[in-house]
Amino acid sequence: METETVIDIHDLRHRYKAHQALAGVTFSVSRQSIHGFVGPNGAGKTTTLKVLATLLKPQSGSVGVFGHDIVKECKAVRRRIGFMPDHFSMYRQMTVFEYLDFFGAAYGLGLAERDKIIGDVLALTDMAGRKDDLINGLSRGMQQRVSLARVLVHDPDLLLLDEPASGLDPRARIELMEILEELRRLGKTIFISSHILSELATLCDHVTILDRGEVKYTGSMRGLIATSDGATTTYQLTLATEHPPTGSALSGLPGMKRVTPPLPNEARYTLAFDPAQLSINAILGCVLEAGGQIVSFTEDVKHLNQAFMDLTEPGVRA
Amino acid sequence: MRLPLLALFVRSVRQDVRSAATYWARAGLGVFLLLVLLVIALFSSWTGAPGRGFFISIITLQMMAITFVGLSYFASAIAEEKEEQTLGLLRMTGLDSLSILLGKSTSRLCGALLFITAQLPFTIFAITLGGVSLRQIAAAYCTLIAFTFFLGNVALLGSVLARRTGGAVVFCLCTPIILAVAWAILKGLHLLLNNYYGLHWPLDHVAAVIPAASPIARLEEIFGTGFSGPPIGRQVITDVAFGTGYFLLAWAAFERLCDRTQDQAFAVSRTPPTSRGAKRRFYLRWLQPPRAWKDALLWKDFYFVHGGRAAFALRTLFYGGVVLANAWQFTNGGSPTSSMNINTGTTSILPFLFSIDLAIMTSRIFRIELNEQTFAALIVLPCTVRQIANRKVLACLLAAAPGALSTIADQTLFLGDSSGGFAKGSMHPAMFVGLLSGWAAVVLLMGVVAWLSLTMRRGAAPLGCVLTGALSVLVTLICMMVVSATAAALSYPAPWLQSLDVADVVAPTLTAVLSIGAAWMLRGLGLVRLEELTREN
Repeated sequence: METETVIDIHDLRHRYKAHQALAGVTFSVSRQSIHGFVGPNGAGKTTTLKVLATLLKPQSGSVGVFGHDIVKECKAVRRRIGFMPDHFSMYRQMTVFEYLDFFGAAYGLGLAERDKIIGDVLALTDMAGRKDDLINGLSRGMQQRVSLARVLVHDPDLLLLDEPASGLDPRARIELMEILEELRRLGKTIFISSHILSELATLCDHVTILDRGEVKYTGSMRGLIATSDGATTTYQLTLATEHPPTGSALSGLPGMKRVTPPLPNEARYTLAFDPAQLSINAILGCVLEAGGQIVSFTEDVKHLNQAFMDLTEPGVRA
Repeated sequence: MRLPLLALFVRSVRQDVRSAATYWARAGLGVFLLLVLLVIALFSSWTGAPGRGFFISIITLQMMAITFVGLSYFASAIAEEKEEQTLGLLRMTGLDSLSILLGKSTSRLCGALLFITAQLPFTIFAITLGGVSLRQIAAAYCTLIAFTFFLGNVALLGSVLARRTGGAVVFCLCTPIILAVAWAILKGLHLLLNNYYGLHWPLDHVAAVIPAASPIARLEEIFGTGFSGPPIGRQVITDVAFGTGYFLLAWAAFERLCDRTQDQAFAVSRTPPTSRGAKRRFYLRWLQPPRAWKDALLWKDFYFVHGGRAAFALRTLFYGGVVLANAWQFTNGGSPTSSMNINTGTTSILPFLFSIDLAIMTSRIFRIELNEQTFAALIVLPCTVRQIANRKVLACLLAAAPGALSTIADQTLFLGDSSGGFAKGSMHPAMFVGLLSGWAAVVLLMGVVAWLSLTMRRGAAPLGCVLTGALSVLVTLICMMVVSATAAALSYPAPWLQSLDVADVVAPTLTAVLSIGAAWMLRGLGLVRLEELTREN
C-alpha cells in the first residue's frame, strides 16, 4: 500500500553562491491532486522543481517522491515522474511519432507497448491526426501538446509541469487545462508551477505559495481564498432586481452582523453573519419571504491575486 | 558614443577587454610558445639552424589557426545576428549598414590581428637561435596579416550572403575554387584572343594576380634560406586589394540581402506553422529513419545528429572511393606513399580528412542539444549523465565508422615502405608505432573538440583541430627529447634499449600514452562540465 503523500519536502535548503534560493522549504503534495506552485520571480520555484525532477541535488533537507529518497533512489523516482520544463525541449527535425517513439524506447518500452501508449497519449492530447508532421512545423500550442504527450509516454504517476501555459493563446490554454483535468481523472498527480493565477484558482485543489525561498502558504485552495475567520462568514447575494424590503428583512435576522446595501443599479448585497447563530437556509428563507428573486448566493472569496499579494512581499529579490 | 559608425566596434572591443577568456587565450598562447621555444632550444645541439625550425613551426601553426579557427570566427560576424534574430534590432537603432559591417567585422579582425602580433616578440627569439633574419620574420608577419584581412572580408561577404554561419563557411571554402575557375577562364581567354584573333590583351597578367594572392606560395618563398625579398610583396598588396573588394561587395549586398533575410527571420530558425503541417519528404524510403532502436539514444543521435543512413552511405562512398583510388594506383604500378614521404599523396590526405570529419561530428554531439535546449528532456531519463554521454559518443563513432575503417584499411594496405607495407609484410615497427600514435591523436582530438563544444557556442571543431595538432607536435617533441636524453644518459643501456630505434619507437609510444591520458582527463572534465550545463539548462 503506497503512501497517500506523493511529494514530501522537509526543510529543503539550497544556495547559489551568495544567494539563498531556498531557505527551509517544507510542504507535501497528496495523491491525485492538482497542486499549484506559485511565487514571484526569484522565489525559488524553478530550483524546487529541479530538485524534484532529480536535476539538482538538495544541499540540505529531505525530499521524498512516492516514498523514494530523491538522491539515493534517483532512477526509481525518474521512472515515476514526468517533467515538462518551461521550454519545450523538442527535437524539431523529428516527426511527432518519432519523438514519442524515441522517448518510449528510452524508457525501455517494447515495440507493441510503445504503439499502444503512443496511440493513447496522441488521442488524449488530440494530436493523432498530426503524428506524421514534423515538430518544426507545429504551432506553439501543438508543440506544447506534444511536449505533454512526451511526459506521459512512460505513464508516470506524477507530472511536474513548469509554466506549461506560458506563451499559449487563450484557446490553447483552456484546452491544456482541460487535458490536465482529464489526467487527474485518470489518477495522475499534477504539480504545476504557473504565473497565471486565475487558471490555477479554477484548476488546483491545493496550492503552495513561495516567496524569497520560504513557504508562505501551503494547503487547500479553498483555505487560501476563503474570507471566513470562523466567527464571521461573508456571502454575496445577488437578486434579479433591486428590492429594498429584502435588505431590511435580512438586517433584522438574529446573528446577522452586517448587510452592505447594493450600489445604485446593482442588486448585490454583501452579508456578514455568525454561522453559529444563523444558517444559510434561514437567510434564503427570509429573502424568499420578503419577495426577493434570488439569482445567486455564493460565499465571498478573495481572488487568488489578492491572496498572493497579501502573502508575498513587494519588490524584486536581489 | 559620439561616432555611431564605430559604436558596435567599441562595444565589441569593450566586451573583449572585460572577458576573462581573452586574457586566458593570450596567456595560454604565450605559455605554448615558450614551451615550443624551450624544446627547440634544447634540440639546438642536435639540429642545425634551430631558429629556422622554430620560425617555420610558429608561422605554419599561425597559418593553420587563421585558416581553421579564423574561418568560423569571421564567418559568424553577421550570420550570428541572423541566427539569433537580432539583426532587426540592430537596424532599428538607426545604425547604417556600414556601421554594422564595420562594427561586426573590424572588431574580429582587430582581435585576430592582435592575436597574431602578440606572437611577434616570441618569434623574434628565432633570430637569436640562428638561421632566420629579421627580414624573413617581417615578411612572414606581413603575409599573415594580409591573408587575415583577405579571409576576414571573404568571410564577411559569406556571412552577409548566408543565413547561417555554416553557409558562410561553405562560401569561404568555395572561394579558392571560384578564384581558380576565374584564373582558368582568364588564361583560356588570353590564349583564345592571342592565338585566334591576334589580340594582345594582357589577360595573362591579370590572371597572374590570382596565384599571387596565395599566402602558401609566399611563405614557401620566405622560408627559403637566403630570402632577400621585400617584406611587403605582391601577395600582401593582392590580398589587401582583394579583401577591400570583398568588403565593398559585402557592403553592397548587405542592404538588399539582409532586409530580405529579416523578413524571413522566422523561417531562419523554424518552419512557420501551417494548417496542413510540414511533412518530411524522402525520395528514397530507405533513407527514412526506422522505428526507434532499443538503444534509443544511439538511434536518435545516429539519425538526427549525424545524418543517418544517407550520411553513412555518402561517407562509405567517399572514403571507400579514396581507398579504391589508392588501390588502383598501387596495382597499376604507381609507387605507394613511402614511410619517409607521408606528407604527400592520397594516403596521408585520408587520415587528415577523416580527422576533420570526426572533429565536426564530435563538435555536434553535445552542442546541438545545448543550443536547442533539449538536454533537459534527456537527463530526466532513468540513466546517468555519464551513460547519456557514452551513448552519444558511441553514436558518433558508429556514424564515423566508414571513415575510420577506410583509413585503417588504407594505412594497412598502402602506407608502408616502397614494397607495399602490411600488404607485403614489410612494415617497419616504427611505422606501426607511429600509426598507433596517430590514432591516439585522433582520440585526443575527440576529447579536445567535445570539451571545447561544451565551453564555446561555435568554432569547437576548427579550434580543436589546431589545438590538437599543436599539442601533438609539442608532446612528440618533448617525448623525443626526454627519451633521447635518457638513452644518452645511460652509460650502459639495456640490450632491449640498444636494439630499438629509440626516437622512432619509444617516443611515439610515450606520445600515444600521454594522448590517451589527456583524452581520458578531458572526458572527466567534460562530464563535470556537462553536469553543470544540465543544471543551468
